[in-house]
Amino acid sequence: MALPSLHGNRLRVVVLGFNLYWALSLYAFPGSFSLSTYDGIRPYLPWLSASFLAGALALILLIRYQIPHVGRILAACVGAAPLLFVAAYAISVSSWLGALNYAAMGLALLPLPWFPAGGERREGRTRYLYPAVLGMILLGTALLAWLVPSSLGTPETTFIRPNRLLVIGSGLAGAVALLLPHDEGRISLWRAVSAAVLPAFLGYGFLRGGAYSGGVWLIHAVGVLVVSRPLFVERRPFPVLGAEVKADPLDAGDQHVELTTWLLVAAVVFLRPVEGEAAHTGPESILFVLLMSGLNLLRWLFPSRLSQARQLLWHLSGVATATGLFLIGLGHGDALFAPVLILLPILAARSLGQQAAGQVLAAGVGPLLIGSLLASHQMQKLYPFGEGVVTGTVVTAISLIAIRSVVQQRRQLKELEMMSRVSGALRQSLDLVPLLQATVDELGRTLETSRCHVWLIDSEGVCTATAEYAAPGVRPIGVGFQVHLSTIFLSEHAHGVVQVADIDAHPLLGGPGEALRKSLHQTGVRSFMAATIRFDGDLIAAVTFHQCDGLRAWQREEADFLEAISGQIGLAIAHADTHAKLVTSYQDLQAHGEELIAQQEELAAQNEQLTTKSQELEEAQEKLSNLVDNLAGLVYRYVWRGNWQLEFLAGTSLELTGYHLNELPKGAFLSLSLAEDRLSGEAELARAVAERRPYAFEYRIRTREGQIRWLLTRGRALYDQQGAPRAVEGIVTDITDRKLAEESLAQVSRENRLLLTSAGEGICGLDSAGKLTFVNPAALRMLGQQASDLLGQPIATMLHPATKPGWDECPVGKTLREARPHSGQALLQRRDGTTFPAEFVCTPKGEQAEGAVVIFRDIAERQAVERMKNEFISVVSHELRTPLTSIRGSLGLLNSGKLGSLPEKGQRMLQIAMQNTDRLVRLINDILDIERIESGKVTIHKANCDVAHLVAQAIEVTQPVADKVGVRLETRVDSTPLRADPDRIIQALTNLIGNAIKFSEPGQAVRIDARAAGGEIHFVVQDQGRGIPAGKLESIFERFQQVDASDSRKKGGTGLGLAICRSIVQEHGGRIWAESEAGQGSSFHFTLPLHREAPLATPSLPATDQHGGRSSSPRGG
Amino acid sequence: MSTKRVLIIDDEDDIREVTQVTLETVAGWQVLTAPSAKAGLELAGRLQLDAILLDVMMPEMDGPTVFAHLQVDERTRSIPVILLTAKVQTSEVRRFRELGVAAVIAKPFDPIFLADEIALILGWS
Repeated sequence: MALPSLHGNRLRVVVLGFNLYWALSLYAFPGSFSLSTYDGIRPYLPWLSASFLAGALALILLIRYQIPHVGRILAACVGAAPLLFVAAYAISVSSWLGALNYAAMGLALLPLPWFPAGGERREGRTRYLYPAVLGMILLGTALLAWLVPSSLGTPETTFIRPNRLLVIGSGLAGAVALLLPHDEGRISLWRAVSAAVLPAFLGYGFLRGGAYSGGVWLIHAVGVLVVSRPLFVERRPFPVLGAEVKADPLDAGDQHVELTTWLLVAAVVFLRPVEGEAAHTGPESILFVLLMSGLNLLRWLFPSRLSQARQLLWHLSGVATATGLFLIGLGHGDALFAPVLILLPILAARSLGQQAAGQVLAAGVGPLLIGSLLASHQMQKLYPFGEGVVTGTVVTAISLIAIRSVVQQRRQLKELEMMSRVSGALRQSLDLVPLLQATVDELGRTLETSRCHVWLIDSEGVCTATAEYAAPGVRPIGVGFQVHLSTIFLSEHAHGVVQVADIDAHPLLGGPGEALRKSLHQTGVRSFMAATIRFDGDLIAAVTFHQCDGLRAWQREEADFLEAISGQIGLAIAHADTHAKLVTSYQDLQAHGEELIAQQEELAAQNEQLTTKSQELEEAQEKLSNLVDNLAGLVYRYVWRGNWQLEFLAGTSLELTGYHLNELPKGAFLSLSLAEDRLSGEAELARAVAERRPYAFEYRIRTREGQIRWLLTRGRALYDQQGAPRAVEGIVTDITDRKLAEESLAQVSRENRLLLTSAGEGICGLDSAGKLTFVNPAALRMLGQQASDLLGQPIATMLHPATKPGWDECPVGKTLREARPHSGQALLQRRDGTTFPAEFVCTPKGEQAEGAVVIFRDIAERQAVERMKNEFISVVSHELRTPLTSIRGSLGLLNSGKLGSLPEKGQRMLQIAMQNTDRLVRLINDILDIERIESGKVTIHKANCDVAHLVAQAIEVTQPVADKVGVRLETRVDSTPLRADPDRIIQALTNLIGNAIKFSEPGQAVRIDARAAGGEIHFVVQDQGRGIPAGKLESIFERFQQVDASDSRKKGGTGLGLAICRSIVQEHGGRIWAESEAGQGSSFHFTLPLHREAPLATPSLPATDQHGGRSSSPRGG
Repeated sequence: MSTKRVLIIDDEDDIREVTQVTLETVAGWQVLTAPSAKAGLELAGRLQLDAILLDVMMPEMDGPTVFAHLQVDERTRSIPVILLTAKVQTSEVRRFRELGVAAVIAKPFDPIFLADEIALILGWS
């Protein structure tokens, strides 16, 4: 039964041993317990024993089974309880040292934070529980012995008291060695410290306590060194009870330390004992020490000879040591001190191997009970002899069984190791001879034989030595040596293993076998062993071992091992044979293979070419694929297999149709098309394929979302050798946007055309050279021309030849050069040679005048009307005034009284007639005036004049009227040059001043100001009259609008004066307005621009660019 | 102030008569009249005149033409001519003035002030 790993349980195992020991010893030797001399504890000794047993059982449970956490705590508590109890009791009897030891061990069992279970990894180093606890115990012991000497107990109960300094020094040394951290570089230092300090205290112990005390402490110190040494040397887990030790701890170094120790102890024993202590050292003790030391000495002297019994002997020495020490402790009358000493060899024994429980029993409990047997014999007064013998025998038997199990286990381990090595050798090669050589070397060395051979056996039974091992100093018989099968196996029927321990004593080697025995003698063989090697049941080889340096009793285990290993050897031989055959076959094949290789190389070259091509194709395919995926459309290919089948389709179907590629209905996008488009598309496709030309047609589809999209497909058909179409491939693109734009454009174009064709004006488009690019129907109609005759011709062809101006003066030319509009009138010529006057405006096309648009209209009719109007005005002017002249003159004469006086009423009537005649005259004058001004028939004759002069003239005209009604005229006018029509400005001023006078009361003043400001001259005519209501300030400038309807009669106004003023001011580019507050008088303002260019001429004001002016003006004659 | 001799050339009988009466009555001048341009020119060439009042709009020959004839004839060149016109447009008034006439008086005129105006224009104080 394999135990679980003891990692983390080391201390518990140790304490388990203590618990068992104490339980048993208290039961067996209650008197040996030093504390039992005190009356207080004696009645409880059986209970204490039971308690230790319970603690041991609890620890077994704790170590062996993975009990739950709470259970572990309980078990640890139960296990620690007796120790703590003892510690408490030790305190009560002032044995502080004992109390510390027991308490530390008890506490170490408990799951307390300062006693972590197992190794703990901290700051890169692993600390282990046991060395730590041990070190702490040693440190505590030293401190306690130093500071509190009484803690060592009374002189009657302990022998340690006289050796207090020794206790302190060795405790400190051990604590330093165990507790302080140890790095690689400090290993030798700590060992040096331990090695130097401990002997020093050893010497001290001799001086003060005698040889016996020195020996005890020496043992103690060496034990510390031994248990802590692996930590220093290899930084590996502490070996006590651990499962991780691989190297044999009993190698030379430790053996020498141990041997030296026991030799020293033996010397101590024979030295003169200290007074009072020698009495306790009986002959049994001396005997055991001598026995143990002798065994160790033998082991040291003859290591190879003792190899097989080595472990057993060593354990026996451990048992003896423990027993001896126990006896020594017992001799002091303190049975409980013995286990402290026993602990150290136990720990050393623990480092042997893996099986903890058996070793604890063997190294700890077993020796203990053997010791107790002997002790009971010596101290019969304390315990019956027979009972001690029985108990000791039983436990010793258990110990021996345990030891045997340990030995057996180690042997198995060794065999496994050997098997592994031999197997390794067998696997090293496929060549038979080196393989077998390696095997025999390994087997020979492992079994420590003189010779080892492997023989290959042929079908005749002849065995040939194929590999040979010979130990140093042994003569080899030589490879190639041949014997018969029967010589090896002593029989014709070889099977299994033959073992001969002594050739002289073997029955088959006597008589007929005598010759064979002699031949064996010649080669020095004393014992031998042989085994068959078979493969698939056939005997193919044999392996033999010779022992020449003495007789050898072959072990059954060795036979078993050989049988096991021979199977492997057989397998290896068979494999090697197969391998050799294979090599031959391979060589045959190789020749053939070379041919094949040549062919293969050729193929490889071709393959490489193909691979390259394939990669190129793949790249091209990928490029194409990327291209198609990014294409705003689809690429397709149909093939003819009785009907057209879609072979390839790629592209951005989703955006185009709303369907994913794989969702497209069969027949792809054409099936999505509207029915009317599909028919025409298919017809076009069929025609194109038949005529062997590329096709392109547009059609509409309905997308998944129900939208209508325009698609354009373009493609061509591919034909087979017979000329039949075999495939159609092409591309589909979305032209919806284009179609929409086209429709929109067409719409605009239609509207534009409609506008142009419907327009009454003639509209011509010109290019930058002045050539006609467009003539609308109205223009063609007016000119009586065909579009084809005009387009591309210079616009001048439309003109009457006699009136063609030079290009420099031509408004069209100016427009094209200056990129701004010009206008004018011209005489155009019809196709039949007749002419008509036209008014036109020429506008540049675009900011850079990439051409021009000329819009013209026939003004012949308008000119005729104007002529008639002018004539009418002339007639009205003359025909109305002529009779008025007679009436007015006659009335004036009569009224003057020059022709005789009239009665008063007659005179009054005459005045009424005269006043109304005057009013009629003014009315006629104003009507004519405004009509002519507003219809543009009055020419503004601008001249350089002076504002002050103009105002003076106006005042001169109005002064008589003002004087007549008693109104003052006041002026303050700057002399400012002005370019204007003086007559018109005077007329306006006169009107305004006249108005102001009319609405002024006698004695009031009319003020006339004129000032230049902001690039214009500002005229103000201000009166102090009744003012104008705010609502009328604007309307008074309209015709026949007066503030009061009665004014026209009262004031004799016509209601046209302000309208005339406004017309005049506006014709000059100025502004006119009125300001007033009722009752506060009113002021009339107008402005005229100073130094400003004349505004751009408009068609209605043909003052400039009269390019046809020489003949077309109707007013010129 | 000696009595002035003034010729009125106007095809309008009423205007010719009213004007004659006015000037004779108000100013006491000797007023001759001619009902047509032709008659006027004949009188002007034959008689010693201080001024001629000439109507603009006349059949056969208008005022400006008559004035041109008067300027051509040595005998009549120095006679001041005042145009009487029913056309009151400024542009025409300006045109008439530019012909070289002494003055342009618009019809209808106030008979009371007509003689004064003529006298003022011609410097007859």
